Amino acid sequence: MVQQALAELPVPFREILLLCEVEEMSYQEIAEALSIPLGTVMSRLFRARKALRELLQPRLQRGPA
Amino acid sequence: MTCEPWRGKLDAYLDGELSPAEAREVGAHLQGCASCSADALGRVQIKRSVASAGRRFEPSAQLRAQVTRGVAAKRPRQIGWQWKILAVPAVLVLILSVAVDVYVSRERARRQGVFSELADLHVAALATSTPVDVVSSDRHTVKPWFQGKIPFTFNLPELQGSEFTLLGGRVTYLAQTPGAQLIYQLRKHEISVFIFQDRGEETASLASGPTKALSFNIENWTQDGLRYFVVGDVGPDDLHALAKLLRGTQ
Repeated sequence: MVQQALAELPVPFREILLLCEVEEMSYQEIAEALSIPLGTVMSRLFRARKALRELLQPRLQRGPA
Repeated sequence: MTCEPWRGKLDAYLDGELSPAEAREVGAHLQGCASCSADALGRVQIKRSVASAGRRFEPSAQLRAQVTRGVAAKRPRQIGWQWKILAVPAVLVLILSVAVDVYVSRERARRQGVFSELADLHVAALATSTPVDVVSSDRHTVKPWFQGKIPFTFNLPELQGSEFTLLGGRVTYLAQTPGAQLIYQLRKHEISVFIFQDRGEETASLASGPTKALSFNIENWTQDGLRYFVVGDVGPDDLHALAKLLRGTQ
């Protein structure tokens, strides 16, 4: 379910989530890897997590597939 | 409404990106707020689910060069979202906040443990009569010495025009992983530069940037699949100057 939701995210959102959660990179490392400002990392992560929650919430309320 | 400022800090808190003072403030708030504790626990569950499910995704070609690999297929964790639509009993506040605290504290302790071990390695090397096994200020002598001794290679910076002097190097180990330890001198101070492959759990979870352990300043970063640590008793600016030289060579 989470995997499917991740696949549906826009690529920039999915990439930043994977760098943060899977690769466990710090915000600074992500900023350097993606060549974007630190503030952009934080705002993009925030929007990515929000988008993921919005994708997951209705599916979780329906129950496991 | 009054919790909005705290909610805004929760992600950074769980990512270990807040300063110690801010983290303490958020932790204290979580211990007294059922709603924020429940929110934090939900975010922890999502973080863990993404960490697990996300391993199935390959990075794009552009990212691949930046990110170390360790992709292992895992079954996504099932998240119990049902609790989100239930009122959280006040008695759960403590349990939830403790769960979040344990998660954050464990991550912080793991990171601090690595930094302390590196500070120990630095002190132990300097305490011996032969701090380096290859004694040379010539990077073209020191770098080849590591061939066949460690499972990777690295570049060393040209120091002409800088205040730093290369004293030599030795093989070292962190969490049973071999790596290079280079010792530089700045005025009367010795600085260790540790280089390891960035694939072990011990190093892969560390946040880049400056920190302190046992009063030593430490700066670390990841570059081309290698994790660099610069450790010394010089000021953070001097440490950063050496780090900058090293970053420029890769």
